Amino acid sequence: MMSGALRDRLREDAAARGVRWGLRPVDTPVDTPVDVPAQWRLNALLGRLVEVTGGRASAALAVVFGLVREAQSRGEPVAWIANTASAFYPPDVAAAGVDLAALAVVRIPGVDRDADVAPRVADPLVRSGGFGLVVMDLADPSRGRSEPVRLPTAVQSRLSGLAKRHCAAIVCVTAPTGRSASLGPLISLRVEASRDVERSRDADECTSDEVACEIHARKDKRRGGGWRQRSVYRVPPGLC
Amino acid sequence: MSRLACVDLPAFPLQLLLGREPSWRAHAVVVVDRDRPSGKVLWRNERARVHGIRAGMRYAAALSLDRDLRAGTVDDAEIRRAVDGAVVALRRHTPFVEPSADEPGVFWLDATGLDRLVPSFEAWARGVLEDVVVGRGWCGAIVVGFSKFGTYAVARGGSGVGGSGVGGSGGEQRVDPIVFDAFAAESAAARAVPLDRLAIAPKVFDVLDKLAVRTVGDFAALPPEDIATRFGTDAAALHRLARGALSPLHPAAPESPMRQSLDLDYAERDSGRLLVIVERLLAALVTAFATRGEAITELAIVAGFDGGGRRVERIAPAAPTLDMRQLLELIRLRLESVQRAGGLVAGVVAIAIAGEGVRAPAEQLELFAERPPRDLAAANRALARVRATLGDDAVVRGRLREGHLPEARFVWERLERLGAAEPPPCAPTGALVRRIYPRPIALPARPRHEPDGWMLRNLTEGPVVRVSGPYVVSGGWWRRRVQREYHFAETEAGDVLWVYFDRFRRRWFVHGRLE
Repeated sequence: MMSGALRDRLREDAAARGVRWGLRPVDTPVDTPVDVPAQWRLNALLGRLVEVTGGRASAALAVVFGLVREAQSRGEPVAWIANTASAFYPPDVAAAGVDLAALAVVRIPGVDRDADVAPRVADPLVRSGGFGLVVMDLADPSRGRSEPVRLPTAVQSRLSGLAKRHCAAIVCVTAPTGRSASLGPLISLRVEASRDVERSRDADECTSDEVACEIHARKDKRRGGGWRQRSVYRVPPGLC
Repeated sequence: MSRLACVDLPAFPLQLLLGREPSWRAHAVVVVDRDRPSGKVLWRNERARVHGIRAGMRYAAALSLDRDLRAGTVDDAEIRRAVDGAVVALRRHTPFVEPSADEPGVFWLDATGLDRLVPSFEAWARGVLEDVVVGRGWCGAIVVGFSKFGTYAVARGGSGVGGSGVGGSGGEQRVDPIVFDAFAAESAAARAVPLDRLAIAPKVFDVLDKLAVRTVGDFAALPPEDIATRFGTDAAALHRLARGALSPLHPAAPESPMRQSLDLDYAERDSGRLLVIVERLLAALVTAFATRGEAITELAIVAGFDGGGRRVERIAPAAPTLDMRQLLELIRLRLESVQRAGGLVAGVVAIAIAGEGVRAPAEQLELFAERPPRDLAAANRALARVRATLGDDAVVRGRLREGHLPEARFVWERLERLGAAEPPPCAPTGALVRRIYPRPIALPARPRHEPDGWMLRNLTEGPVVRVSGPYVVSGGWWRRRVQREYHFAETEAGDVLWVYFDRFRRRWFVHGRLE
């Protein structure tokens, strides 16, 4: 385990010598960026199958891209798997501090079977051991709120095993379904990410171009569900 | 309000020198930066001051003022060792101790809550003084108060910065702690401290002296606007503190002992199997040394035998190192020779490994840092497999470009090879991200009367309760003119949809949503 003091010293030394700094142990804790709450951080998700769903006033993409940024800043390659029916808006992602050039996006043609195809794409990516974070965007705008996405248990089991073996985090983004349906029983951590507009306004917690978002753990096999984390995010220009 | 204390050991290097050469106490003594006539005087004691010797003077010049002058050097390693020792001693009195990064011999102690454990702050401070300062033959002061600067200034006001009170005639030592019960009292006392007692640059001090600015209070009364320009950033930082800016305590983390040990369930007599156990312990030890920024100069392997008795083997690498292979090879050779000599016959039931270290060069530490955590080549091979399965256009990356319309502001381009990420070093605040639909979804025309409000999509999401906009975007006049009025429409269910009204098609579209 490498301490913060060593990391700081290594960073300084590397900067002084013009050497690019990287980390060796996979489970090394890193300084968490300000936008990533303590329990919602890559270290806590490595080796796990995670589901992020948007609650009322979803903030799922925002919290997942916080994770992407953290992964990139500690040198972990990231892959994003999505269908072609919708995509994250790249200017917003760049504004969130993500290096778009180093974010591999796999766009699965056709939207009907993306919940089946995405795990098949994720499998070789995680199996390669070359990715620290693989995100499967399973939120399909064409689906209604009442149609939850499901991952077969065998698929969950395989992905979960791969995540453990290669110490990678597999994060599934799902759309809010209106019920508390999960992707499946082998999901290790299921969180709901939502904006808290009213409280942000009342509590003067945020400026006019910010909003507080809350991550609520509905299920956490390691720590027990129920924990909440709040953090502040900037809103896109034009939204007040 | 949190309470803290400042322990000030004035002219600390001079005190270390006098500790090394106690017979010099009766003479004028200076600490020089190097043991040569051209060496610069860094610290001087009271007798040297009386002879007109000042800091900054050459040793030869100082010697011309006092033929009986004694001089010596105190290197950084010696100061660091002494500071570390003082921190360990101070931790016996409070867990949180911060040694000053700029001035060796200045320590801040967190005293918050200690009044519930000790009879009074005064008794606690006296205990610290007697244990850490007087007990080690040093001289110094302790002030218990509320702010780092306030306690430091008052401590300096009592002890002096130039070492005038150090080693004068056998070492005069302050033993009376100063305890403030109110922040205002501490501030008032700090403001009365002469500026020459603080570690302020001589040139700055001279200028301030000409301006009749002689106390901390006078200095704090100066308008803050031009301090940095006229006197430099250090003076500006001091000015901010003098005006009452609080600086939080940054206690040094306690260092773990440089020792790893393991009790075995059975008596081990084979050197090869012992080596495997030692390797595990050594890995942890090397990491601990690297964390400190040190390299190993000597290892001690202590083996406890079945039925009592122990054996200590010492191993020293050719040069300080953090190289596991090199250390393991030396340990292997030693264990094999011990086994050959019958030293392991009794069976080892406990083994410990301890080390001594020195500051490691950057090259040694880079051994821990230069390897990236993931194999990018493996990642690229996996992406090539995906490309082969789904087509070349399936693996892409986003690239921003200039454009007026939202869909023109980026493009998905083929990702030929994934490289290392370089996110901006300064972490921005997180941002909400929109999900964009490549083909905007047309909404039904708005009826003239909407008794339930504007229902964008379905009843589940409810009516629109808040609209931000419009933000007019136009473009494409050279091909097909586009004029859109973008809005963020928040529904009762809390969803924020990114909608626009197409002026020419006279229709509403959903272009995305906020997530």
